[in-house]
Amino acid sequence: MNALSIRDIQQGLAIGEFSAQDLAQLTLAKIEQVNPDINAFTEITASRLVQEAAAIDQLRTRGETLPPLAGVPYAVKNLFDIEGVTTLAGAELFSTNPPAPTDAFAIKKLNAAGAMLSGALNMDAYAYGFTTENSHYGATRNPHDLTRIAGGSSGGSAAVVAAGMVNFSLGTDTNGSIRVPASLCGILGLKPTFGRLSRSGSQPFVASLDHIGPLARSVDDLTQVYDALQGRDADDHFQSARGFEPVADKLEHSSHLRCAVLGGFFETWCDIDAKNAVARVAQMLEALEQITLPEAELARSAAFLLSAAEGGNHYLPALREQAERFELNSRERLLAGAMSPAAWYTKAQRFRAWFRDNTLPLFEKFDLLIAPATPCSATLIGQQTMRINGIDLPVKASMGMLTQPISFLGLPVVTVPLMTASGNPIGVQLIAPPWREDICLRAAHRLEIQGMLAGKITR
Amino acid sequence: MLLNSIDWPAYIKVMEQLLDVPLDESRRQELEVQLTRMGKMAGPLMDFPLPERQEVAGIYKL
Repeated sequence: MNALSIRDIQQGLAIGEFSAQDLAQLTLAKIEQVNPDINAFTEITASRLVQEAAAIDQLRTRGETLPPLAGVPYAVKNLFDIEGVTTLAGAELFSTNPPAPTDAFAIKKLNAAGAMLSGALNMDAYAYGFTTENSHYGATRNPHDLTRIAGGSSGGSAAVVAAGMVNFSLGTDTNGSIRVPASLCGILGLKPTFGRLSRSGSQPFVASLDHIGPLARSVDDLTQVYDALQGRDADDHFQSARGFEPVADKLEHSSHLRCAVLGGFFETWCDIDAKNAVARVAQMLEALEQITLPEAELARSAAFLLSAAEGGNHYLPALREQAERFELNSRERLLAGAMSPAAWYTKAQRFRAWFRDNTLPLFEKFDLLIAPATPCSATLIGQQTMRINGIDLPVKASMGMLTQPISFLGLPVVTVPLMTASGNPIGVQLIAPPWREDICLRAAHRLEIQGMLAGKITR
Repeated sequence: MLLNSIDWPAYIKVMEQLLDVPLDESRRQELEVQLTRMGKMAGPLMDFPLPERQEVAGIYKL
């Protein structure tokens, strides 16, 4: 049933083919059947799902117009506040906290749009990682191959969609945490422009870089969820003052897109599977030119240092008082960040402005930039290094090296899934100018209608 | 910058006092690994010349 698209659900509810409560029960049955193998959920909100379904069915009974995401099951990364559920942010450290008193802003938006929440999803502790090998809550396994990582930090969010347990999910992306798991699990992910969507009611990691966004199996689903998430939130001081700019009615726009492939750093640090995926997308989008971002490798370093310093400072009080409760994969990484010299952090923040000012002029000539989302497809659970460009790189730190420079800029990106010759999926980033999510989504839609994209349920 | 010559154990001991984070030797060793990795990234960034009036990118609004 969760193979249905959002439009299928809208139509099915409208003609009475099924009820929202049917969808809720089928979702719970699918989770019960599939989740033990995947380990995507840390909490299943079954009673809430059933109640929200009943509310939708009452609207149907009264003959009222249904909201756009009525009856659509979803789940969220466990750093979003869910009323009545303890917000874990992947960390045992938070497991003894009281339940959240109210939903995160994004969940309120989805609730208002009629979507039905099925639970909270596994992630790297504190969102500090690219593999979702969580030592306390267990690794989330890739639905395409259970021996492989789902990617992270929003690993549960990608796996739950790829496995068909829900139609869409919410993740967060500081340095690639939506795009990396979407790439490795073979689904689509949208990291909107920095400041587009409210982050209120989510556990922060790096306030200067944190984004929220949706993951889904089709461009249309991704777009409808993105539209539902938009809206001003006076409580989020990092949100920009943009109006509601819906994209769902713009996917079919046929205007020509001037596309280019990112070379240099993005071509050097990926394997042949990633290069082939980029080439296929480039050919379809008629991207004839290859360009380079100025100082992309420094941008990656600056994003790394900025993340370490802000994230480390955030957790310094707990590192002092409850060090034994920390995830060992990240404890000393966080503390090293907390100890890093202010000169590194400040230079990273100044370089960020320079990088922005020297990158944005590229969009006078191009509408869309194309780059691999990950250096390779999913590595094995427990694998420490991956060989890229003749060098062994640490998986946990490097799987997001190609996403980091783009989120450092804050540009909107859709990651689209392609299948490699080995049968494992890999993602390609479609990168647009600030506030032009519509361009990323339109390009993804063109690839999708050409039949290029993976994104099918795998379990 | 001559980051290869940085005495990270000494730096860690000072920061341990400054931030009031008591550590054992195994944690200090892991911190040294992490700070050495960060130092390798920071070197080229610190060497990169920025315009004299380049401001930070941080967001602060009232």
